[in-house]
Amino acid sequence: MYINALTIHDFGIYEHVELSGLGSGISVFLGENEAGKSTCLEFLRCMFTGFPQNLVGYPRAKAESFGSLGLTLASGDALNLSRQRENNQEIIRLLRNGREVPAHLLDELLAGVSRERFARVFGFSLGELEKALALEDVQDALTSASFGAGLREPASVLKGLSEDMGTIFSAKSCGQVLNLALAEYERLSTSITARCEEHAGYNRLAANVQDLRTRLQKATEREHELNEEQRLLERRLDAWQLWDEWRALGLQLEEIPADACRFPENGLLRMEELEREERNLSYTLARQEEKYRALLEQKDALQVDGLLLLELPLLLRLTENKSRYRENLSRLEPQKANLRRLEKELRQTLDRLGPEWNCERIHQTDLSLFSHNALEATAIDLRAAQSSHEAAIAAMEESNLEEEAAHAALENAQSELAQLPESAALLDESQRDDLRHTLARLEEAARQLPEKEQNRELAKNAFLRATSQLSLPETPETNHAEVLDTLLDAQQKVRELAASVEKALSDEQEAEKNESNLQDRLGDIQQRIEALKEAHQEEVPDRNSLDAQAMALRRLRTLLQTQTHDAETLDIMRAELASEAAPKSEKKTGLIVLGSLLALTGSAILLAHLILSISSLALTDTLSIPINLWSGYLVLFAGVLGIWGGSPRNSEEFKKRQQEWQRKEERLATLKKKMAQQQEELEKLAAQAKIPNLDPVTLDAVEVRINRDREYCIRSEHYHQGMALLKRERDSLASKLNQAQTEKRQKNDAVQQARLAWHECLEGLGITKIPDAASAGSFLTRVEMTRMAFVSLSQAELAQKALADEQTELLAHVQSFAAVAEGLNTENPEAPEILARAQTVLQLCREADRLAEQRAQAKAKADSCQELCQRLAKRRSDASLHLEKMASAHAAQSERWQTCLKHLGLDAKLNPQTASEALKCMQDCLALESTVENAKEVLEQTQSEVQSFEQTLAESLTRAGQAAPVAAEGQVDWLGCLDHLLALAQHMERKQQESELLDKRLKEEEKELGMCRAEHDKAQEEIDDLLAKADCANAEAFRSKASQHALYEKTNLARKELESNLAVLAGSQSLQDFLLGFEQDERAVQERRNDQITFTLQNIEQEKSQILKDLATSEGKLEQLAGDESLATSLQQRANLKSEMQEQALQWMRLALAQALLKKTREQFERERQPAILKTASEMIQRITDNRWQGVRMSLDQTRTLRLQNAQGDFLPPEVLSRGTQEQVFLALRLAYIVGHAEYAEPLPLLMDEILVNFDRGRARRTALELARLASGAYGNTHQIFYFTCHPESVELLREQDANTSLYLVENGTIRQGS
Amino acid sequence: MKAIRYLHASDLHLDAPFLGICQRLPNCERLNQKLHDASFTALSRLESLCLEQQVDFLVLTGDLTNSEEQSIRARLALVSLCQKLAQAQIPVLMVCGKHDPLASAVYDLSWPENVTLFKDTMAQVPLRRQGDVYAIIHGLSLSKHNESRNLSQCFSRDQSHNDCFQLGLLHANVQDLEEDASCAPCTLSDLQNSGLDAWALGSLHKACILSDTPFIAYAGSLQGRASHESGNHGCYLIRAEKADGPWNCQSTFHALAPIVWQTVRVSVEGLQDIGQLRNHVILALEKARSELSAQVNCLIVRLVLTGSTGLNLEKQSTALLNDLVYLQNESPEIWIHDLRLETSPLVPLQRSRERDDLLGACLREAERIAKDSQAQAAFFDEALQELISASPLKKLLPPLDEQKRQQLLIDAQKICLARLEDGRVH
Repeated sequence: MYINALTIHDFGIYEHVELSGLGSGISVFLGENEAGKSTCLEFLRCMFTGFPQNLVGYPRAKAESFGSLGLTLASGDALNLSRQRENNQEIIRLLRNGREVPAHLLDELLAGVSRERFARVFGFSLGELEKALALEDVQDALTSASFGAGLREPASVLKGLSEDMGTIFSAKSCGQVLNLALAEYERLSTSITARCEEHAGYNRLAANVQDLRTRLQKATEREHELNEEQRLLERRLDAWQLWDEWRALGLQLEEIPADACRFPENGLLRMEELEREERNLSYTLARQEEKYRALLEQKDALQVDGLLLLELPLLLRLTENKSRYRENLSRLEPQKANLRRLEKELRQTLDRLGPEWNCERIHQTDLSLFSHNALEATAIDLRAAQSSHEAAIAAMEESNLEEEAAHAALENAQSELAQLPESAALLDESQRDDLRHTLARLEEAARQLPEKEQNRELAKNAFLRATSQLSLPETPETNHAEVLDTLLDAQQKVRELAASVEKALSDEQEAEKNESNLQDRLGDIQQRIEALKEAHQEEVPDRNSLDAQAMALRRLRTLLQTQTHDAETLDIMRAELASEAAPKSEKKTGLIVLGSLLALTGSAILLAHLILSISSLALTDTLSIPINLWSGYLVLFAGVLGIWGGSPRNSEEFKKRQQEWQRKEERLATLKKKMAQQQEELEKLAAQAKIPNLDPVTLDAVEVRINRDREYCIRSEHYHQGMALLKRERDSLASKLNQAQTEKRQKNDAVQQARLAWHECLEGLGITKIPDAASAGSFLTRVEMTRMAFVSLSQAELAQKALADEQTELLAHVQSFAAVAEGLNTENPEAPEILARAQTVLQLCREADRLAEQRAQAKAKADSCQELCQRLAKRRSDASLHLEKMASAHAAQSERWQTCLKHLGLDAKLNPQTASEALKCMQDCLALESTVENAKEVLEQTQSEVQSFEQTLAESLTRAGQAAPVAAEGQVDWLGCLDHLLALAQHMERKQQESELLDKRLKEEEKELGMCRAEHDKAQEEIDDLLAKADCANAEAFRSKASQHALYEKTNLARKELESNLAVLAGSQSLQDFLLGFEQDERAVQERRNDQITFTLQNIEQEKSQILKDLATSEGKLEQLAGDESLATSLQQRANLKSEMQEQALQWMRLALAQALLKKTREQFERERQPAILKTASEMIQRITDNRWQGVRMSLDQTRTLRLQNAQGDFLPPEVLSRGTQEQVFLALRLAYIVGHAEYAEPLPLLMDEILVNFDRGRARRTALELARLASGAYGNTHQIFYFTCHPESVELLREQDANTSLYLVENGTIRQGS
Repeated sequence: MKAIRYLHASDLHLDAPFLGICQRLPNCERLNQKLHDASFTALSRLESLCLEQQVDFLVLTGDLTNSEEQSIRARLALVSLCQKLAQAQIPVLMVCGKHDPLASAVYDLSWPENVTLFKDTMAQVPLRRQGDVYAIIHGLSLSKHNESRNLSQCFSRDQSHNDCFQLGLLHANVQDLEEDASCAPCTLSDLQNSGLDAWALGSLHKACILSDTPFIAYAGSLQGRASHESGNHGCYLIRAEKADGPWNCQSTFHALAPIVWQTVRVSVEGLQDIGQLRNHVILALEKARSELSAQVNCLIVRLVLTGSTGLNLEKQSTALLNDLVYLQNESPEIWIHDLRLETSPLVPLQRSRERDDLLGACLREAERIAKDSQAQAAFFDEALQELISASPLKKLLPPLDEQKRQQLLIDAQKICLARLEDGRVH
């Protein structure tokens, strides 16, 4: 590839440069200092490898487009490369044979040459060639030369790969990513297995739950059955109770008199209602009569005035108009005042127009819109003409002032030019540039000298410090390098020994750690054993005794419930016995008394008849009792019968009641006996369960205690099991600990042996202070660093010396200038004097230049002032003509305005503003006149309304016979009079209404009074009728009979209700049969069965409780398993971990394969191939140095040290060579690299800036020959070479070697072809 | 005859772990929880779809859970689904697959009456509508994980109900569509020759229709579980109608999975820096997100960078992923679980191979090894000995087949190229 054309846009010193027709061989760019050579070199480098983002420090980049290159490829294709910047992004455009191709083609052409490498190898200046002397660049050059251009050191690549692999996985240690992941994977797998086993029991657990649910359901069903039976039993007992009540009510009914059943329905209630009604009616009648009398008196008291009533409508109408009247009164005065104000204002407006102006004259004036507009337009034209005239006058004055100022400035400039002298410089431009460049180099050398000295001191200190850290034997300094080399040669062995010590130490630490872990675990177990012992110090009760107590407690609770129930039953039975009297023989005392009385009466009758001979006994006037034997015997017989009937006797009912009473007493006794037995059993069980008291709280407490003791027992069992396990584990750990301690001792021995070997080795190598094996790596690094410090010290000393020589040469060059030499006072001046003289000469030259420039500026200024004066004179004459024209225009417009005013009848002297105001005033007068007329009309209307209101009110007063109102303070209070009269009329109206209302109410009260009397009579009749129906004389008898009837009805009703309930209970069975089915002793049988059921239910309840407890436990486990997401979480974690491990393993494999590949190739490469680049470089060095140096070699070990072979066959490091030779060596290495690179990539152009200046004449010529050979294709490919120089002799040198060398002259930002 | 509408879902793999998620992924725990719930969410959506569409019946064709993982939550979720469908009087017919064979504890549950679980012998179940048989469902469950028989040959049309719609349920591998071809293999013609009107198949995790008449389809998995199961997952709603000829089935795919896996490829060609790359990646991800359907809550992405570049992506990929973590908090969420570099260097490998230096020699040696199988085996054994000899790891690593070996060799060449030319600025 070669550059055939270049275009530079705004880069550094170049604004726009185009160069074409460049050849493929050598092109020399000749130019003085600061002509733009380095900028051109930088431009070309940037075009190939890109412009940096930050252009600070680079030549200015003024435009977005940088430029372009025309390239010709080895294939003959034409390529156009251009770079530009858009939106802060660099855009590369490539056109191949006129068609755009992708930008990466450039990268392919460069074949891996980076910006840095291009600057170091393909395009470099003298300064960059010097930079290549740094140690790093030497190593880089070596690397490039040995394994290929631009590649990294394979050893460092392998080391990097190994480190990366080591972070992922290592079979020997356990801290790597993959090792850790593997351990975590195994832990997760174990956890998952355990979880799976746990979850596998889900189905069995679910079956168990199902079984428990079935059992629970069966127990519930059995419980329901028993509950149902118990419910039936209770219903039967209820029925028995009903039957018993029904029987007792039957007995009560028999005792009530028979006639009590005949009584009017709801008689008592009706009687009470009628009596209450009769009392209310009497009270109401009296009240009505009183009310009627009061109304009559009220009516008589009212009197009404008819005239006032007639005037009331008119008064109401007037009242409605009161507000209007009041409003009119209030408006009268303001309306009058307003009228007066308007008239005054009209008069004032007319006065403003003038004394002869009135409204009639204004009506006669032409105030139309047309005339107004014409007046306005004329006024505007007049004002415009006036302002133009004034502007022309101002322009004329300004023009005069400017002309005067320009003449004054011209005189000043001419006098200033006359005062400036003419002067000449001591040195021409080229001499000055040369002197400046030399001074700059001297200054740079002076600046660098302390730095070089400091570098040497630093290098020396670093070397001494490094040596002291190594504790080398105290021998002369020259021996240090040998010791260091010996150490470096033996470093592999040292590393192996250190590694063995490290391994032994690591093993020992591992053994120690293992032992420590075992001891910790042993201690932990011992602590757990102690903790268990402490936690289990309490007394543990016997398990069997606890079971027996729990059983006794359960039995006790059952018995207590039974006893409670029995006690309740006992209380009920006692209450029944207490409520029922003991059955006694039936005796009717009334009958006996009646019989006795009758017997006595009969005896008395017989005695009266027989002894006293009385025949009759008169009771009333008409009624008498016959006294004879028959009546006596009859009454006596009736009395005997009565005594017989009332005497006591044992009936069937009496017998039944007696039997029932006996049964109850027997049941009571049985129950008492049963309770006594239960009490005995309770005491026995209480003793067995150790319960002091049988109240529920104590029982609960005992149950809690038993449960707690049972928990103690379970814990105790767990404790024994756990203790056994811990002891077994402790024994096992103790044996492991013994093994670990033995192993540790063995490892310790191994460590001692390894350390001994380490010490012997280092002592053999001459090290007095043996470093720790762990720091072997750093020790060897320090050795290498010390060796490098030694090399650096040598380099620093050489650099210091070279700088001093250069300083001397430059001072001689400065003295060679005649102007400088003339000013020196001594023959052998000191450097500061020479430099001061040179600076003075340069200062004098600059002063001369400055004066010349000032004179040129003054002359230009005088010319400019002259020209300005001429321009201003012309401008003044133009302004005068314009002023005359404006004055005539203003006069014409004034005449036109006066004509307009005359037409309107106004004074011709009025200006436009006054005329406009007069027209406005006329329009205001007309508007005011109209407003005054309107105000007069409104005032008249208000006055007429007020008079009408007052007249109407006066007439009404007269008609009503009322006096007219009296005027007070000249005003009549018509409104007050109206209010008074209206109040009187309304009062009369209310009286009239009240009277009519009283008449109406009197009629109603009269009617109501009659009705009350009728109702009272009717109630009295009904009471008499009811007494007659009940066959009672008065109300007291009626009530007595009513109470007997109520008792009968109540008892009968209750019995019927019971019968109906019993009929419901009988169901389909007939009531009669149902009632016969009851027996008086049935209740006891039913109650015994009920007790049995209660007991069974309690057992079922306990069973259910246990099942529910088990069910809750199992369901809890089921629920826990169902909601357990830990298995899924662990599985996901394991899957994630596996993915990660696979990915890591793949990455490890890639790295391992790359490492193996690289290792294999490197070995093969080193074994089979002699680096061709070094071979080429050696040939070039031979030719350049005229066989003074035979070539360059390098070692194949990791240090890759470079050695140069001299004519005697000795190999020397490059540091010992002179500066020029070093530059020749590295130039040869560069050229060889370029040759090597071109073998597999497009040959690239070579750009060099002044690299031959340090070469002697012969080597420079031979170097030029090598460049010519390179350009002509002697090494396989042709290479274009751009050589930038400021020395014409370099051009000659290159042209001697290659006649086709082209010449281009670089001058102040331009490039042109030279001859 | 009235049309028949049924849903076909398969390979639910309830509560089974997702594959390919790296433990080091930022906020991995949160993603794990989302993945854990995803299959159950999809199942819940299936239930809602059944009830909403009021289908005639639901068929499930195996691999409902992973039996070896004993997920109780999965079993209970299945029973719950069937109970809900029982309330809506929708029959559920299911066969067992290779991951939940008949012998596993998964099916040792008390199912509602609407569930028909086919055993490992051929069975036919008639479905009735108002007393009349309208469909015959043929089904056969796998009894073991590694079933190698061609079970499709056990199916034949029930001639006594020739007019009815006849559907076959089977968990099988048709024409080696899967990698694991050993699971009940059969051919498409076997299924077509059975005489049935339609087939509902399980095993393949990607939904596809193999034939229109008879209608043969895989419903795919209900929720994708790995990056190769990308795209939407769900079930088929099938409408079968009899015209004059055979039964005509029309299917509609309903996406139900809340999480979608996707591979997003981004070209790095011509990109100058990592900032540009980040912008390109975000654009590509946003595009992928905009194409998601409404029911997707989360997008899990494998990001693949392609094209030739001079950027050192190996070093900058972690920073790139960290820059994209914010996407996890947007809706729908985007999780980048994997970043793969399929980039190539600016200078092609072939061109570099021609170089006469260490790199060229290295690449040529790799090419030689890739072509010589014996040398390749020896080279791999020697290079990977340290890792492979660690037996626990060996079990966990996927076998290195020829393709993987070749890919590893190419990767190793790229590493050599990048490391030897480290520091190059393109």
